[in-house]
Amino acid sequence: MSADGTEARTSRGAKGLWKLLPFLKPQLPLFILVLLFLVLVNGADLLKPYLLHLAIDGYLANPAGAPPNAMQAVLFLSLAYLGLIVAGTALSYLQAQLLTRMGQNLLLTIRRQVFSHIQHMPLRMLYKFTTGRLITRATHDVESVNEFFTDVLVHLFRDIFLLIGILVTMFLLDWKLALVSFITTPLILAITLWVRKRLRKNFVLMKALIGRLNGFLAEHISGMRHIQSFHREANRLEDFDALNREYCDTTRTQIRLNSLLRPLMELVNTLGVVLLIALGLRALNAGDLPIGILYAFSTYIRQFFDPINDLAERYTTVQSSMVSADRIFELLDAREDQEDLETGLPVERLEGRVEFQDVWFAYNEDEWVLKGVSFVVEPGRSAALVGATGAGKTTIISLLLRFHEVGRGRILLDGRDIREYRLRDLRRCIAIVLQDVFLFAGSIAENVRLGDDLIDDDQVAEALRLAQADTFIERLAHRMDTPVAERGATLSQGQRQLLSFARAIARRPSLFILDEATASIDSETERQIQESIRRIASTCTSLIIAHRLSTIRACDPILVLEHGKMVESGSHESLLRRNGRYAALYRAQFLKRNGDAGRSPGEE
Amino acid sequence: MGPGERCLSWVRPPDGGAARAENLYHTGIGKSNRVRILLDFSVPVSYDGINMMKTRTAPLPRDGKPMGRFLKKYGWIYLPGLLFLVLSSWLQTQAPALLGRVVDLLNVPAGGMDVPAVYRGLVLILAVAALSFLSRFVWRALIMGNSRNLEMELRHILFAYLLALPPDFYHHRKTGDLMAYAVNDIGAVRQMFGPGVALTANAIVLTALSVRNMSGDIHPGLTLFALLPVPLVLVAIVLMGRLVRARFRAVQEAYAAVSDRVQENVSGLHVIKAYGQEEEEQQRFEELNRRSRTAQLRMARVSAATGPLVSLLFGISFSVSLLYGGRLILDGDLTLGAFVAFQGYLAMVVQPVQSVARVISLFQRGAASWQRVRSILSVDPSVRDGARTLPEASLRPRARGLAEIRNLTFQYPETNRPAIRDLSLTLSPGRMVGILGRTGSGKSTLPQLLQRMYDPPEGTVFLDGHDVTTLPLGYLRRQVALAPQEPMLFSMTLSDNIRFFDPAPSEDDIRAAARAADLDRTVAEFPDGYATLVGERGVTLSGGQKQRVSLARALLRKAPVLVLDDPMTAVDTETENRILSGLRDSIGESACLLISGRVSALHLCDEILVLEDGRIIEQGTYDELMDQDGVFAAFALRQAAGPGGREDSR
Repeated sequence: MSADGTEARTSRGAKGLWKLLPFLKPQLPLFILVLLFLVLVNGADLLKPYLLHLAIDGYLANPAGAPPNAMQAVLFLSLAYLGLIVAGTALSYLQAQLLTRMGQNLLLTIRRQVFSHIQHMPLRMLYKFTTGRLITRATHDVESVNEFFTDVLVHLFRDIFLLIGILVTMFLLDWKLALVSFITTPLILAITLWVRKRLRKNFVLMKALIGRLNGFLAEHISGMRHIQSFHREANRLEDFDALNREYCDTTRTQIRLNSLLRPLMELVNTLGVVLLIALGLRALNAGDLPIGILYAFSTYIRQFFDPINDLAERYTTVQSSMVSADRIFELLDAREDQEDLETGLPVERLEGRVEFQDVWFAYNEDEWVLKGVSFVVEPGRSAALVGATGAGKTTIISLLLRFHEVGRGRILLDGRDIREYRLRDLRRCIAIVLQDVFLFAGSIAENVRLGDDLIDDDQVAEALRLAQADTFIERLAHRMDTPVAERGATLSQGQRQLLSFARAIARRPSLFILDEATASIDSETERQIQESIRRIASTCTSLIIAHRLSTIRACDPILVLEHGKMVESGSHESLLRRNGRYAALYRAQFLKRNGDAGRSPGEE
Repeated sequence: MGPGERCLSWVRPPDGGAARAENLYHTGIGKSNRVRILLDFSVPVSYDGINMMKTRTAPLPRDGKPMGRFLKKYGWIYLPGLLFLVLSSWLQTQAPALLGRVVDLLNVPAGGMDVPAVYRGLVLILAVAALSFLSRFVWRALIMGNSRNLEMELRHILFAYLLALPPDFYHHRKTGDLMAYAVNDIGAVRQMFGPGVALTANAIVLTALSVRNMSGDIHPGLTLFALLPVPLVLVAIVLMGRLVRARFRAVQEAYAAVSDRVQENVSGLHVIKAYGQEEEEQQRFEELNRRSRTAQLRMARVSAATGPLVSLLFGISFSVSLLYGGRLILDGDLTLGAFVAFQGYLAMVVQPVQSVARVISLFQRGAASWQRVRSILSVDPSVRDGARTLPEASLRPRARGLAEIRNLTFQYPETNRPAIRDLSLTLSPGRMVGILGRTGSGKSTLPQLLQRMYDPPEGTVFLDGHDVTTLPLGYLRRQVALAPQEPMLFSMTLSDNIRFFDPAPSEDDIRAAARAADLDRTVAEFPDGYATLVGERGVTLSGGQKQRVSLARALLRKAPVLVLDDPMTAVDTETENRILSGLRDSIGESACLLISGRVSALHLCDEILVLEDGRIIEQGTYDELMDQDGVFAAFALRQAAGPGGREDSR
């Protein structure tokens, strides 16, 4: 990584962190309290060596010449020492509690906001923020930002308070001795920064390597069958060992660097104390310097290293938090893209009259995917969309659901521009079955219901029956309450398809849209699916994207699309009579047997 | 990407796969938690299925006992490691006494100081500190570094073992679970042998020497009183540690629920939007979100108390030593230097005591993880070379390609129905045999047995007249090349994916194989051609393209026996026909088994078997079967009536 790259990222990230301030605002009282407690805890810590100094120089250094009340004084000082510890303990516990609460509140708010943002993000934004990145935003990045608040920010204050506190105390006690004590400070700084820098560098390397190693493992475990089938085991083990060894070497470098830092610091601290004594020797011998002060100073010198090391250590966290904050705001700042689900004309049911009026649409400027498409589907009818991949079939559906907005022209539902309806209601009136059936973790019933609690068990059962899913569900251990595994792994493709039909039926939609599956399903399931489609289509207006023309013969109208234009429309018979594009497609599919002739409609 | 593909992509999240992969490594758990997980192995990972596997006592001969192998190679390192550890602890415990002596030299009436003695003392202190630094660095590098060697060795052994385990093993568990063994469990074992061993040894030596010096050289009574709270500290640490672990587990579970929810929600966002379920999702999420906070706060209530509690109890120790030590000094029973030294020793004991909880959990987790790793390493790799295996030298380097199946009945482990019943067939060089059958007919079982992914019963499957169970696995699999139905591309270049880790073929060979799989025109469309990176970080190929890469991979091997297990389900019919017609030329003298669910794919075969429920129900040439008016003809009719408008869609 170039220095420039890091620089740019940091400065951009810092802006991201500033933007987090509003999130901190409601937590401000808590935060101030936490800081206050920190000051007190540090104060208690700093007073301890001072108490020892009082005890030593007042009474213990010269027991022979001690005043008669020495024992009471020592008792008092011991109790004061204990008191300081009790107070410090209580305060630091409280401080930690408050801090956690603050952090968790922040986490809750940020995560809620990110999640809500994702919910209201138009689907086209998935191009920009891919699924994996979105998940990372809502989990890892939020956590990383939270870490900045709970871990970094507070430690930052604690460390700075402590450093200042030590400095002030030392100068108040003896400014000359304080100056002597700082002889080793540059050394501490230099060593810490140098080792930390190398640690950081090596850590980046380590992370990259462990990522590669885990990626290697995951890939090979899931592709094990293929490795074995091609008998590449020995070769793969060789590559794995090379990577494994490389990783091991970097981790050992890390260990060596880590083993260096703290012992080295203790050596430097000892050097500091030795120098302190050596330089204080004359004053001590002259009786100008009480020995207890010297003792207190040696304690302070040892306390100096921890905050410095800590600050250096947090640097990495700060950096990654900055990047995360930056990434979160890259997402949250795209506010103009949020979908407005609430405003608009509320609607419960539609008749189901669909009309496209000269609809133009482009994903990219001037690359028109739809070029003036117009058609009408009367309520209760079944229409089919036919055409090659890229003809614009799926685009028509995404426009109808307002996943995208039309470029020119308009789309009417029941005679009204779809943009006038409340978006939530519009989508709830339309049930769509997609090619790629997505099942959520949960039971079959929950997948049919999909969060809509108004659909009761009877309605779920009815929908499953209508979708012909009841036969296979009967055979499951817990029927409707059987859990579907992740991404529906335990159900076959066909069964999942039937479930998605039930999901659509249960909503009693005004308009049913089907993006017909292309995957190969065995013929029995295929027949079931055909039957389900027929049943649903008889209850409402339906729009079917067809890949197998044999399945949509009964549809009327059949709309034939080519390169974003509607080239033909009409019933199956009328289109065949017309002997145009549809007739050609149909013949090609129907005649294609034994490998002769024909282009399938899917080919460009 | 053309506009056509663009408009399709809203239906399908563009990178569901990548999402899952990303999540696998981040485990969706935030950084601080993740770091903790590296240290904390109470992470709930499902190890289901592991107990179901048959286990056996003797591990693979070639690896020996995993720990033995490590100890033999790296065990000696512990000797100097522990030696330096003891040395450094001893040096460390010299420091307070030396400082105390100097303090006594300093604490004399003004002008009476023995300055040269002080300087000598200071030099000694520095020398001891320097030596202590060196020995500490050495033992840490040795012992901690060795735990990394152990980790490397274990990871090597595990992966080598995984390479030898048959498909049946992988059938039972998810990649993520197996990853957990390699990442979490091996990590936990390392922690046990690195920080675990080091902390324990260090704690024992340091505490023993400190206490000895305190009570022996300074004052036994003072030592006793000062150390009185220590047992209390230990009990508190152990009890609280247990509570923290339980609550930490709750935190992780809550967090996992949150991240699972996010992952599922984002992956299924298109459905949620299409059905207008945004608000409901948000409510459900909010609940999990709050639950996660509650769990965190509950844990913090205990975990935040541990540190302060320990420092409180040690604070009592220091107060007591100040009070009692002060009295002893005033009475003239203790010098100031001895008192200072005593404080130094007391501070030295704090750390080992504090680390007790960590050491206990390191050992608990390490032991549990070790058991889990062992449980994998004791799974019986049922398919392997054994005593009956023929020496490779006795076989012809290239088989003739005469594969035969005789009266085979085969049943998968843990099922109650045979997948294949009394089946016989012969593959001979230059001939192409086709198998037609629907899903579940048992047609994909045959390639598994021909390649001996499962052991067929003795005397049923032969290559060149040898029972496959007597052939060396490597030899057999070099002779039988398989193009599977479900392709898997690795994240590397197209050319490397076709080559598939075999350095021998030239670029020209690869191109020829790609041409035979009708891949060359597709590749020409990629800007980087054959150097195009595919998979997670590269170009995403369509199902049909992946299948064709996988087909090219099998063709490249030019094996005597070629098995195509329905490898073109996602390839459009026209392309499939083009490939099949070319196939006859490209296989040359190889024997070929072509398995398909589509009648049209089989018209070039010399002989076709129709499989149903594991049995051959019809057999003959394409034309014979068409005329027979049986199952095959019925298949043909149905498939022609509902012509598959399959697309090689991207």
